[in-house]
Amino acid sequence: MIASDQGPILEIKGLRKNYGSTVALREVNLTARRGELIVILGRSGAGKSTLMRCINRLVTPTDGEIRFNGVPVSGDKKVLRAYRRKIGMIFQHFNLVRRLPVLENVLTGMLGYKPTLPSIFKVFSRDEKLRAIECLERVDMAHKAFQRADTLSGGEQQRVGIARALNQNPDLLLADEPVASLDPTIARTVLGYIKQINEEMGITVLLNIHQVNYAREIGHRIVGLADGVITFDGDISNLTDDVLNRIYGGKPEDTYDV
Amino acid sequence: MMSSAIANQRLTTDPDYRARLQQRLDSEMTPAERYRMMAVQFATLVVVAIVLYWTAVDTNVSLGELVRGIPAIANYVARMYPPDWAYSRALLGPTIETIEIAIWGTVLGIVLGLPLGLLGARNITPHVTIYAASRFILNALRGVSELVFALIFVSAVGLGPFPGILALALHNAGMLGKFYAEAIEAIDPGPVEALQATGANWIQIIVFAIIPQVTPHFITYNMYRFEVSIRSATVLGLVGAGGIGFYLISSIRLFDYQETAIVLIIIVLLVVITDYLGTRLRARII
Ligand SMILES: Nc1ncnc2c1ncn2[C@@H]1O[C@H](COP(=O)(O)OP(=O)(O)O)[C@@H](O)[C@H]1O
Ligand SMILES: [Mg+2]
Repeated sequence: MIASDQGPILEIKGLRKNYGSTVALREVNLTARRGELIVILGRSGAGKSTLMRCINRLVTPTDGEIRFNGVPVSGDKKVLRAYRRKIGMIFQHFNLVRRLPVLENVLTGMLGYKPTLPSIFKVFSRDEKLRAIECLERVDMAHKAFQRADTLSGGEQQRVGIARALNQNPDLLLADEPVASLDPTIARTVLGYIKQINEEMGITVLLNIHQVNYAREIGHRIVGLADGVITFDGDISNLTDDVLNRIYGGKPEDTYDV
Repeated sequence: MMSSAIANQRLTTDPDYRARLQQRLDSEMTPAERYRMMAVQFATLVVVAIVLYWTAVDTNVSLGELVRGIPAIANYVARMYPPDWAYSRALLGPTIETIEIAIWGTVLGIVLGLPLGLLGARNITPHVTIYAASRFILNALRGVSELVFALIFVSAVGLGPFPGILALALHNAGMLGKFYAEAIEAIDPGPVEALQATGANWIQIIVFAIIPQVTPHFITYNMYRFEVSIRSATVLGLVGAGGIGFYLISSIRLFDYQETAIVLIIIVLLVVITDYLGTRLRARII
């Protein structure tokens, strides 16, 4: 995978996903260059989550091809593990293990690199723990390392979620509506960390969002998704009302004026 | 009046609300469907009543007979007084044996139930065939009463507490395994998905995302099964599988009413005390 540091980090061609008779993704083509931050905009049900889950194979695509670092993604267990650990993911509901301390949650980010035996006994070296703390420092959460995850506020939990993803040492970060459960001030802080990670660490970011105002604040490149099809792909400056209409299908009230 | 005016206003201004309302109304039963449902319910009730009547006749359930039996029952209870308190010293050993049977019956039940529970949880089983097999074994173990298991083991390994332990262990494994499987199926799937996304493998996901979520439930349920096992262990002796039940059946057969009384008192005390302690302890864990 290190072989091709040139070229796009992610190439999606003709991606299609059906859930039974529901078509979630119709024909998605998308290319991400190294270091880009792409905002994927679309109303609820447009297929944003499905797109991300196809990329790291939490769901199996019905058809199409996905290349990551030039290598086609397959369902083979060994290949999948090596590939998933280079792709971090953060979730709308944080998905921390609530009963475990913050530090252990961040340590789970490196399970993809760890042999099974030491992980059964939860054995982590001092260096591994220090690395996890460093990831927490990136999001200013190191002071909460030994607290249980369920004692944190929503914004803090999401920052731990980001630290867990960073501990994978990822090339790509998938953020699936990371601020949809947070109030606006906290949401802006969390988006700030994501932007910082993109700019300072050079990690490519795909960011799902359904609110236009957040998209305007953070993004350069916007990809609009509606009913499983990309209806817009371009610079934020071209995001006119007409384009928004195409993305949101003329029902904007609950989706883009927060 | 007021509320309907408001509702009407919403209907006219909010197309989304109107669509949702329409959908809701469409999903409700039509009058004809509703009548049909009532008819089915009434017919079911009639069938149940008939079945209950038949079974009552078949098993000689009779209020008259119960009333006629009251003097005999009263006579039996009267002869129990006073309980033979001195006999309680001889019952100390069997009482302890009863507790021991319950302890080992629970521990072995956990050891056996745990793998079956893990493999029988739909969300983490390695394969659907393994899932089905585990669920089948668990159902079979649960379906057979511990007394039936005890009868089988007594004839296989002979009289004493050991067949009692085996019997309790098998039945407990069935109960516990099913509970474990269901607790695992009910966990928050978010962390599991998050760890899958990091590249974690099956065992790593169990250790980091599932065990922390289910451990408190498992501990409290294990304790509950121990309480139930104490109760079961008091009757295992009826079929020769150890514990205090053997002394109950002998005193009843020998018409030694005062001994029967003290055995019953000890059984009730044992069960009440474990229930009380267990309930308090479990409340503290949750
Ligand atoms: N696991 C699933 N089973 C069936 N249908 C699904 C599933 N996940 C998503 N869908 C359907 O696929 C479509 C796209 O959903 P999703 O990707 O979650 O959209 P978004 O994230 O943009 O809200 C929706 O119609 C949704 O109902
Ligand atoms: Mg979504």
